[in-house]
Amino acid sequence: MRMFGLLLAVTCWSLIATPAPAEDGWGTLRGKLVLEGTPPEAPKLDLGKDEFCCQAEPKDQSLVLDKSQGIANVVVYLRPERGEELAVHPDYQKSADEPVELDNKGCAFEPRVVTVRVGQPLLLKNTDPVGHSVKAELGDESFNFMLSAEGDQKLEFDKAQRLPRPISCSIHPFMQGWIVVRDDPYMAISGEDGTFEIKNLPAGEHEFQFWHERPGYLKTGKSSSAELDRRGRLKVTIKPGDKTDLGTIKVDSRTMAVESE
Amino acid sequence: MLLVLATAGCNNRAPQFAPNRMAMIEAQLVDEHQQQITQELTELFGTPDDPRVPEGVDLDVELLQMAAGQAGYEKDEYGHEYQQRGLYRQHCASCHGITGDGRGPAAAVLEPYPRDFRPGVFKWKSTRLASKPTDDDLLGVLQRGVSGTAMPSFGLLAPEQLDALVEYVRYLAIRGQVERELIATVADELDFDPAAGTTDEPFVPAEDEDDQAMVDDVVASIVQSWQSPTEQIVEPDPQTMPADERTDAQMAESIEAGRQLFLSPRAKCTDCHGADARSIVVKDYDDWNQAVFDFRQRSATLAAQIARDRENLPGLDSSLAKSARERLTSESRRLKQRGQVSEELLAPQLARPRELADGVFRGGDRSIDLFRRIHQGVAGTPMPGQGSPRPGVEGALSEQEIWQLVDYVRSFLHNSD
Repeated sequence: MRMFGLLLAVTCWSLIATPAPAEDGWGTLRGKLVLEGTPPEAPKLDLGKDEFCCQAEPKDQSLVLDKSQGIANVVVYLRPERGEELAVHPDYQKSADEPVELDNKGCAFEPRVVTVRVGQPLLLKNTDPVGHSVKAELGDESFNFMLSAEGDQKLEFDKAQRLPRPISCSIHPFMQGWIVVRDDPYMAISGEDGTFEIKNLPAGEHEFQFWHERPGYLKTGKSSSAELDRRGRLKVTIKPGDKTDLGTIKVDSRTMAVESE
Repeated sequence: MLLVLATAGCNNRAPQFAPNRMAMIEAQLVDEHQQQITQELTELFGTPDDPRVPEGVDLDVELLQMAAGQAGYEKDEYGHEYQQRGLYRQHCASCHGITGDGRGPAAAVLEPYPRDFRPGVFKWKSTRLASKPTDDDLLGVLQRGVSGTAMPSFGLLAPEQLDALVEYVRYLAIRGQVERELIATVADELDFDPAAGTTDEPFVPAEDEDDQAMVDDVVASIVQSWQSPTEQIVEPDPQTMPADERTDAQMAESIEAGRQLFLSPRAKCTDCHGADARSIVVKDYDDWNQAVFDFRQRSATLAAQIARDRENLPGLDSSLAKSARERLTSESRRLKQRGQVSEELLAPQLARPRELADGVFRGGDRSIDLFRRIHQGVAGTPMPGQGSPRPGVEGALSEQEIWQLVDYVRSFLHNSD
């Protein structure tokens, strides 16, 4: 029992402890992820028999590229060291209670990837005229419940997840989304053109994790100034008042085709 | 053949817990880390003959010892022989395996497969979806058995023996969860090179403070997940509970309301269970089988990639060919490892929604059992909950509606006679 007591004490401490101010200021990290090579073939979705879903005809979104082969839905987040407390910029304290929306729309999760902070509400919506269910395996905070047509449900999480976790619908198994739950706000998802930006990072050296649903850890990725390691990680020094631009990070198309090193 | 079996039977080596190779290979752990994790688990939990309980974990060693080891008997004060050791191995291991991985010698021929306890997820329980079962929930499964599966009732065992088995199942689950979390933590936090199969950061909690902190964190988080499941029991609102005594007409009315709901697009029951509550639609795997399916898929993708790379090799100029060959060697080695693990796994079975019209209900057929099943869904399976996902908010269906569904589903009970 001693260990649990200790855990409780640690949890309580983190509740009353105010985040340390960033004495050295704040900076921004940005970049653009681009696929190099021939895009792998997109798998076809088996839409089953649901009349509405067959009409809505959602497409496979496991790899979304724009004309410049920019890669959407890459998750980029700060990976603090074990036990490290990060300073939180006042702008993020304001947004801590703003709900993040995840819609069931046209028999697809919209957006496909959501980021949410511990304690921040996640609003699960269903704007379709048919019922969906939403399921996620998040350890003690797993869920799987019905979401009525045009219904919604609000959730909050107490625990961060080590990696993005899949979210699915049991009624429509072709539906696939991802949820990222982290302790801090320093995370971003690349947009349609493959660009991402994390603002107001505490200045100093940090490690960033790059992740995509196809390979998991984004194993390859190289720009003129940076190269991801085999677990899709990169150390970057954030300078106060400065925008660190990683430039165009090229990802080998093999990485997106297959789970390989 | 007989000779081989006989020799195997005479093997006197004490049985060991099998490492979770699928999780280790999936995480690309190097051999050294795999062995160090297995060693740490022995440090924390002991062996199948000699269970140990890590500090802070709420498990009763005396009960565990009754379940562990080989069958052993003692005489009580009246001179009756009773079993004092080895209950798990005698009653459970042939299906659930020594490790509780659901892969005992008899497992492969069963459908559904015996439960793999290691993820710590249980289907038949009174608590909220993400919560652990209570001791009474696990005891209930042992007493009832699981109708429609190979799991028999152990109701004839003495109460203390049943308590020992419940404790041992919790032990195997907690051990399995700690193993999975240690694998994930080491794979994420320590440095290693899967291509070369080496690491310059060994995992040695006995000697390294940071490694010990990792272990403490993992154990504490699993302990927390098993803390007070009784507080998570789903209690129906007494206001909407059906009366104990109902007239035939009242019952018929509730059953009909339940039938209408069952058929409605709102509840979506028929999408999987069929309009006649019998013509089921099989779509998906449960979480246990999905993990095996995914493992095999990734192996297949890797095999296809290797085949393509082999084909392309002759066309590469010498500078590229060298690195391509190295990659092929390392990928082929990984594929071989994956193949070895695949052989230990059971071919994935699709989740079969219950054919409700048969009137056979696996998790208990009392109204309250079915109420909780429909309210919360079934953990680890595609079945979603219709009730509120957390206390204090409305679910897709009201509790009154869920009771009507319960009445409808229970109206099939007579079909099981």
